[in-house]
Amino acid sequence: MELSLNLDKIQSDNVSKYAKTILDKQNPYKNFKIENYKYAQLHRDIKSEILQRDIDISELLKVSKNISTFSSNTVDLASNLNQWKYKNDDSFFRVSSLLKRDTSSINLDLIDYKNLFLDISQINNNIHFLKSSKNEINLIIMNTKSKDEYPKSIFFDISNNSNLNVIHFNISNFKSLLYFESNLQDNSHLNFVSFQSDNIHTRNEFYASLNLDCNFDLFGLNINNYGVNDNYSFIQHLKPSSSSREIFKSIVEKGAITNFQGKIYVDSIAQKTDGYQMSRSLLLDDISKANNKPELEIYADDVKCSHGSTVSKLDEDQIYYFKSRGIDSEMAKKILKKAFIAEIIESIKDDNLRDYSNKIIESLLT
Amino acid sequence: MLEIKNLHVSIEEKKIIKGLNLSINKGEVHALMGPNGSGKSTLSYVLSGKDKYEINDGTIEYNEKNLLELDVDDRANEGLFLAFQYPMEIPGVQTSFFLKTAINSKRKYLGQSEMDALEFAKLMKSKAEELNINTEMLKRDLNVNYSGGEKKKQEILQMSMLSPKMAILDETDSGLDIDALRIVSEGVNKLRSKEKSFLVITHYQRLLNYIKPDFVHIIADGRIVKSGDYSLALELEEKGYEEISKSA
Amino acid sequence: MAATEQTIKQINTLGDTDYKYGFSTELDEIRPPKGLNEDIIKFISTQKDEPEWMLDWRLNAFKVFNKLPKPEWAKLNIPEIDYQDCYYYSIPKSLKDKPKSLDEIDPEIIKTYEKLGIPLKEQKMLSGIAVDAVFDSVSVATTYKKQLSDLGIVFCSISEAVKTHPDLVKKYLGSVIPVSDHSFAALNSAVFTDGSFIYIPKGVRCPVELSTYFRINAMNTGQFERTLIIADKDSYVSYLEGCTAPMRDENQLHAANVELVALDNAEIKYSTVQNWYPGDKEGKGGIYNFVTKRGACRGKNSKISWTQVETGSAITWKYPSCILQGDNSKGEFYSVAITNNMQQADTGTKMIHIGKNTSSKIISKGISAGKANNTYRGLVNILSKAKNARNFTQCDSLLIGNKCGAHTVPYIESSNSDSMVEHEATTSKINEDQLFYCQQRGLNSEDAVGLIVNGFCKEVLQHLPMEFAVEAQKLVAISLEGSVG
Ligand SMILES: Nc1ncnc2c1ncn2[C@@H]1O[C@H](COP(=O)(O)OP(=O)(O)O)[C@@H](O)[C@H]1O
Ligand SMILES: [Mg+2]
Repeated sequence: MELSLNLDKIQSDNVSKYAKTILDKQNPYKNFKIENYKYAQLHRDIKSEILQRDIDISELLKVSKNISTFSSNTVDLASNLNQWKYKNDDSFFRVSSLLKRDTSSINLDLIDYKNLFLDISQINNNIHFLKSSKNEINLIIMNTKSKDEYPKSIFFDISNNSNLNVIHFNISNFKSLLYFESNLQDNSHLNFVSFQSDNIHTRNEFYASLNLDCNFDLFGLNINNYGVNDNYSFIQHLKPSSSSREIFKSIVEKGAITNFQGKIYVDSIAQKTDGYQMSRSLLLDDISKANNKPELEIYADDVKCSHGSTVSKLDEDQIYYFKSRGIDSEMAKKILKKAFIAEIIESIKDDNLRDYSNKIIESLLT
Repeated sequence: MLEIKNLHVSIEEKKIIKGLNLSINKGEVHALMGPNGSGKSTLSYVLSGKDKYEINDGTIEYNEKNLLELDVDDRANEGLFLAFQYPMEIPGVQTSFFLKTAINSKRKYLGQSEMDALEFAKLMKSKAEELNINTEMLKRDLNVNYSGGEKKKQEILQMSMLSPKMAILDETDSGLDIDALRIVSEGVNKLRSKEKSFLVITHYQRLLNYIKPDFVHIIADGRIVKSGDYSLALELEEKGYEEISKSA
Repeated sequence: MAATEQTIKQINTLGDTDYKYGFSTELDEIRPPKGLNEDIIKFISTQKDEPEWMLDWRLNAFKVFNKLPKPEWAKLNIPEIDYQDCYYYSIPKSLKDKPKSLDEIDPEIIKTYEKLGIPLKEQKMLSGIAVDAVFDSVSVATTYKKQLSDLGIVFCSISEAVKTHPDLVKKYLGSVIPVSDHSFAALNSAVFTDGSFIYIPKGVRCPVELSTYFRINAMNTGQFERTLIIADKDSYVSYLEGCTAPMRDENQLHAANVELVALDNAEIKYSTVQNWYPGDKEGKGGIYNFVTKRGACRGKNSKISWTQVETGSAITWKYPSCILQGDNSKGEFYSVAITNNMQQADTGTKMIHIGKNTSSKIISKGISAGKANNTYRGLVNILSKAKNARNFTQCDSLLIGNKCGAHTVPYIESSNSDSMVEHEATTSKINEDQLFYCQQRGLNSEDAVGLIVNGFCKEVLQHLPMEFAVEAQKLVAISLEGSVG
């Protein structure tokens, strides 16, 4: 099956001139040289049939309200592309999904429930979430069994002084192409955790725009994937005193390719920005591959920005230590893998959801 | 219990142990003393089965088994314990979880059922108290941000919980203050029995005031150059390695 | 805060005349007409009295050049370069008939080098450094020749080597940087004028530092340096180069290719202090420095170490790299890049791990002031057969003022599970506490900043040969003078 996107299918009547240039010039399916898609391999031909498992969500539904059949109105989000500070590399995913699909808007403040559950593979539209209260909400986004050929976009508008926690489960998908865009207004917080496992071909784009005194945490976990697992992030600090923290962890084996490309952009007026970015990969065999491209683009002087990246295998000396205490190497490796990813699971604040995530991940770790 | 004959070991083509003989019987405590770089840690690693060490010659028999044929974890489960000179830090793994996994691995190996959570908690608490270890510390990641002394105590805690037949202590005394040294030694002394043997590796005679050995061996350049009883340690303290080695 | 503001003000008041190497020398020159075509290439080749194979090689490179687009990856604003509006060859008339000894060199040229602090007269020379000086398109003088040749070391201009050591040149030229690598590499291969050639025979440790001093003098002239260094088995050489150019309003092109080859157990240490004219405060003039430097660790246990201090040029585009082919080979890259006013730099390295147990280390310090943009761009690639490869990368950026930019673009690719790659990067401003401390001890803010920036760069500067280290420290302070230091 060839994983390429047939552009002709996108209705062309409503295409703005701007969108058209993006589709022509920035189309990663046509132009391999686009930097943001450097490692993406969108054309990869996947031959092997891979066993896909069912994820039990009954337990999750017990602790959350399913909003997959919500009522919503349609919004037009095509216009606010200009706010982004990237040059020449506008998101192809965003544009093509907005052309292909309508966008439904959900006001999260209208739903009086702490944990919300949404299966985006059940919904054909792009989705736009609004949050303007201080209510504690954990939004669980699940992508089950998606075979969608087209990118889908999910937008978060987080107003002044409000906050949101998002947990994204992207598990056992044949193909999933997602664009996440977060707009954080002054003094708002977004905590985003993305679990990716058992997938054959995924690409997630995380775009976030931060204003005054915001706080954006993004955690990603990739394990047990088969084909290409590709994460791209672009975080722009536009106003002073915001912080962003990004931690991606991958365990790569069985011929999988994991890619992380992320940029922190700091505008010249965004003094006192605190930006942190870390990508770590465990590379467990020589047929697999880990690529990292963590970028900083900084125009303000009074900032603290750093990034780090490591690729290695499990530490032999640690395994030896386990064995010297009678723990066999298989068990030792499993414990060390869990230890490697613990930080990501720990970042979930809600006890129920953390326990659930823990269980899922435990069952996926081989 | 342990019988080492004509052991030759090299690492990266560098010969480190050059014909070492050592025999330890049940219930005996042996001290191994020697200058830096003489091969003490190397010996302890070889006994525990760390890879990358090449055994060029010799045999090691442990409890009537050929030790060299066993994998690291099997050796451990057969009751061989090494308290490391430099204990490993393992971020992300809680100390208490690690202890529990180790204990249950051994029980599984011996065909016993898993220890239940309550029993384990009790055991850990009592052993930790004996060693004056704050149980709060056991909730932290294994050896991460532990002080040098805390790491060493942690090794002894593991030893007392796993209750080995043959324990090797590699410079457990270094990095301990005098109080910790006394507590650690008491921990070791409590384990002493007719069934258990010890190989205590140390630089200093000081430790041997607390853990009285039955035999003392001096190692130099990968070979045991002199053996004797406790008085040899005192003699060493007085004369230093160089002179003792010369007279050997 | 106040101290930084004061510093920034000083940057802004930095005059245009502070480039101390900005004088030019009046000389009669031989120059073919402007423009880039086969005739010019033939002219260069004839002037240099080259054998036919060399001319064929150049003409082939020119064909390749015509087919290649210019490289686009850098975060640089490079104005369209009109290759036809440039002279490709310039030689002072007095050098046309190559002087046989230093006494025959035009005294004006000798004076130029003296002004630069590079004495060519051997008796006056710094002890322990053999110098090859390149003036516009030709090599002026190579010192210490006799002493070196007694050891079997060849240290001469590349033009000379084409004639005297054709086998070595044929074998290695273009073997590390293929002509078709990118368009600047192809351009250089077509029109290269001069540069150094070094061969260190088996088992020889070169007893002196070998050094080349590059000077662009003529107006509107591109300089196309070509350097080839071969360290045969078990040999060692340390090489250093310095560069300056006069102040001119128009931009000048410098497109160099430097190839290093290290065979079994050989070590090459290559140091650069680049201080080409950076242009004035408004960004007028200055050198476009498009440099391709690459070393191949072909033999087992070989080592190549790059150290660079890049303070000059309007645009710097430069990635000294190592191809780690031999088992156990090592690559190192130590870099300080300072940009001020309108300068732009996109510099870094590539470490390609091919052999087993190969290791690489990258330490990069970028400092950006004024309206400058400074980018670290680097690739670490561990191929799947590079068992046990190791890389450690540290890149730190310092910003002075909020009109400049500091960017970090590392590419980290690993396909071998027994390898370990570690990358760390930070961006920060000058430490106010340190600044305050220094000022409290009586240093003025300029000296204080110079001191702190030098501290920031220390890890790199300490890898320079002694004689250069002091010079480089001063340069670090001067390039930020009134700007930073
Ligand atoms: N991995 C290794 N590779 C090479 N040499 C080693 C290695 N480990 C230990 N050695 C060398 O082996 C010798 C003995 O070391 P060790 O057993 O640690 O001595 P001790 O514990 O008695 O101080 C020393 O010379 C040491 O440098
Ligand atoms: Mg030791």
